Amino acid sequence: MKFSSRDRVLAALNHREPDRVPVDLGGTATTLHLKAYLDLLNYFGFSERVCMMDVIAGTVVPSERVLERFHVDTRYVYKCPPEPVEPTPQSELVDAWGIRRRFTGYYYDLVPGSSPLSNAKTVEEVEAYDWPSAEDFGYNLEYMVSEAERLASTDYAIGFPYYVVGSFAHSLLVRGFQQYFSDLIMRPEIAKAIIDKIGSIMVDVIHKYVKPIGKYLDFIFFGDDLGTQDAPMISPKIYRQFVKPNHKRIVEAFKSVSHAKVILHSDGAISPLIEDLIETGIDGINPVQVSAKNMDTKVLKEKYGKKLIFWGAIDTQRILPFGTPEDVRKEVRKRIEDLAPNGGYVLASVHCIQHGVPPENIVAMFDEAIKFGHKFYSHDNI
Amino acid sequence: MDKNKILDSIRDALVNLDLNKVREFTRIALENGVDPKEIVLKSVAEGMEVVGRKFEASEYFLAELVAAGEIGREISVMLKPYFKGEEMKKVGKVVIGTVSGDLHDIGKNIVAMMLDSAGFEVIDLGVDVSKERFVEAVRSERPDILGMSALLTVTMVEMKNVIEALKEAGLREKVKVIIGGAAVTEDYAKSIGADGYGANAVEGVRICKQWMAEK
Repeated sequence: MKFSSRDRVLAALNHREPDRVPVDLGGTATTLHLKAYLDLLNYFGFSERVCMMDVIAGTVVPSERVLERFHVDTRYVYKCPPEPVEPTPQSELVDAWGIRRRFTGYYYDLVPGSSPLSNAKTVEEVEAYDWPSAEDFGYNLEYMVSEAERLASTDYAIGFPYYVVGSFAHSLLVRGFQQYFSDLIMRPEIAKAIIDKIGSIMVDVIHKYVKPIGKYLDFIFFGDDLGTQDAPMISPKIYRQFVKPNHKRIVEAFKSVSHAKVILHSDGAISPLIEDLIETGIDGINPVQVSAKNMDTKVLKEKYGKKLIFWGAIDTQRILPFGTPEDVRKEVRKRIEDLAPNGGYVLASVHCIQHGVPPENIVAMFDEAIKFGHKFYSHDNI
Repeated sequence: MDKNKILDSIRDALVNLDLNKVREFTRIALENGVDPKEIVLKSVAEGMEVVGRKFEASEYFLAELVAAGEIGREISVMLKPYFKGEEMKKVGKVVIGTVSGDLHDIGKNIVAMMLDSAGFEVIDLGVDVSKERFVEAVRSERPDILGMSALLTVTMVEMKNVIEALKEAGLREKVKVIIGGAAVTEDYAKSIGADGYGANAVEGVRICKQWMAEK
């Protein structure tokens, strides 16, 4: 059978083996930082007008030329037309939630003490906050619909990028990390008011902005960072009490407007939470932070391979930035061997490719992904 | 009122993160003339040790650590008027900060809170701290320990610059240096000549306590 990119990704998402492992580049959590992209363009000798994907993260929308060079199988419906890079970044940005960030050279970082709800003492104060509504996040529906229609006539798998947040990480941002962590234990009514409010706003976003394009989508991302390098930030008990109901209704909302597979983006060491995550109805996880504790791809596939799609897994903390191209190729082969049997794996970097990653390593990653991803599924001499 | 029983009750309430019981038992202890120093050394320090062990055993997570720190601070506030003018002798003095170019502070804040609960005097320089400010703080505060935090591989390199700056200022021998942060490793700590590396807040605090015990 001849596989188009869409066939390939759909097979993988449905736990079947296509002709080769599909590859992704260009999602909000699977793209490149501006500086890495400029180095790559330089390496290729490509001259381009570069467009930003997320100014806060300093990430770009890779060009068609780069996506084709790497044989990327996915294309995304972005929320609005990508803007060209600003020559001089603003020193501070305030987002729709009221969170202030300062430019620190590569990204915009949270300014400590600037969380808008850090002083709230009652549930009433939380409810009275000038919360954003679905219309405040910059979604351009006309653009999204026309893009979805355009992409539908191509052979690529169509994705909705990680824009919708799961509610936990944004509770930390809006309230302040320290405050919210102790709210969970000491002031649970405030913790609940904040997280449920954010969850409601997201459900509204889904109905307003994902529903009109739902029939075109093959996969949908949403994101909620739950882990640190070593462990989840919260216990399974706290996850169940506060976060799970919100993840559940977000997943339900997505599934009510689209047949697309739903992938949760969550950084860090999250394995103690995976059983609960599966119960929210997600179809897969990303980025699969392999450098974090207890995120061994072989173990994860054994335990959850039938229930979960794995999306990502190529190490960005040590191998991509500091390894040799051969180290990168070895990493690609290892992750394919661990995660690709019986489908269920889409290869991508663990989160975005950061500044400082040598272009040779990026090329090695994608070229080996295609070469070995093909070989692996041909089942010759493995 | 059995003194040891009430001290244990305060400790257990702290470990169970029950602020109401902590307040109640602390009030009873103070009204019955229990020496506030004993509350600090027995109930709070021991309680935080247990919290630390639960964190390492994956029973407690960040939320519980932060809540415990908050309760510890609440106890400090309740005890303050009862110290009768004599300052509690501190276990040691620590200057702590997140390095230049880095704004991340939650890890540093948790370490600062736990050091405070363990009886250290903590001077928190905040985030985006230049090497000059670190050196000046070591010179003027004369701490036993300097702690540095960085989240990112790009900002982590600043730690080496600070250590070099301490050497140039003739201050390196006067202070023990401990580093931590998600991207920081034991190997990196060794390579830049740090004295210690904390893989997490609990381990970092343990190393600091050990250093003071050895002094």
